[in-house]
Amino acid sequence: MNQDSKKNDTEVNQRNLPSTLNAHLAEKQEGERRSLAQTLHDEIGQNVTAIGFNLDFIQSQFDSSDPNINFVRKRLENALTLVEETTDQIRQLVSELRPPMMDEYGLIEAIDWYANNLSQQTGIKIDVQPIYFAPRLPSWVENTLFRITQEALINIIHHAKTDRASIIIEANATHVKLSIVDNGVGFEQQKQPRLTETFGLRTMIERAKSAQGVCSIESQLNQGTQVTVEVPR
Amino acid sequence: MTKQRSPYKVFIVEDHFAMRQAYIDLIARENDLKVCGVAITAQEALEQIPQCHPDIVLIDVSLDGMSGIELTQQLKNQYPELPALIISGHEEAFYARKAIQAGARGYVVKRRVRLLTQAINDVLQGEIYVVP
Repeated sequence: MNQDSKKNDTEVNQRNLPSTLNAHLAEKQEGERRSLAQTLHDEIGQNVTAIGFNLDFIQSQFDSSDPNINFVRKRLENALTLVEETTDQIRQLVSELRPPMMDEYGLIEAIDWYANNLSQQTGIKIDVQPIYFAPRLPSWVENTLFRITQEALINIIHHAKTDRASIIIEANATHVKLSIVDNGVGFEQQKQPRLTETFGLRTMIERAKSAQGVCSIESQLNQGTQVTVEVPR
Repeated sequence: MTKQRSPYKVFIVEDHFAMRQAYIDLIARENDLKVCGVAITAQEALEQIPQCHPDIVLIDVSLDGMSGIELTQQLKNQYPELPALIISGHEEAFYARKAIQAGARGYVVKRRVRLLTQAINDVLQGEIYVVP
């Protein structure tokens, strides 16, 4: 093996792992979210579903014409309602922790799903223009890009006062680029934004850096905002 | 006198004990259906299905190792005539789409498991059944 190929192997290996302390911590948190979401979905959620099925079965065994067991039927109905509500809460929690399809299907499907969900919840139309590319980015880089996209979309919802946004994903031989664009109120970049906004913007920039990428935020008053993040493949 | 058809054979692939039992109970209530085999992983299913000769396979979407979607694809390649019905804890339309794209004939969310035998019968009649 020559020196160049050794160097390339080392680069590839390093690329598969976060390179900074912040990135390590972010990835650790991502692992915890993954594990929690999986336990909630695969174990607790299924147990609750099975409890619901059993209650439903017990209810079906009662003679509906017997007035003496009406109070039991009422309790069972209440229990089944609780099972439905708990199932909804678990599902919501799992979705908030981490897109369920992220590990198996990757970043693009996760962004598309998240944008659709957010559109339904907020009424803001989010257009996603996906590009599918192979091989996939390392898992921790996908996580980083997803969290930046999420942060940018949440900023749009909280601050942009708009009803439209778009996410454009581009890939060439060396880089993947994501642009999150809105046509909202924007802000004057010279003026200091509020602390919470500054923190959100700084987080996106730091996250991109940790993936050896760059994140830029361009905005003009009343002309919307564009967050662009570019990472090497 | 018309000879009664023997029950349709159902093979179950599900790793959650209580859900597996729920499917078995529901199928036991139907005269025209019977469980011919049970597996808790895709690999087990691939080994047992050739012995069982099922008319339909019920597959949990989230299996350890090979996923339910991958198993569906593999079964579609190996047994193109064998219909698969995906049962899933995922209520996102995304997963129903993936299941149908992989070759499943139906998709039932676990929360609506009481509709399972209806779904099985519809799929056995050649229809596509989706309850996301």
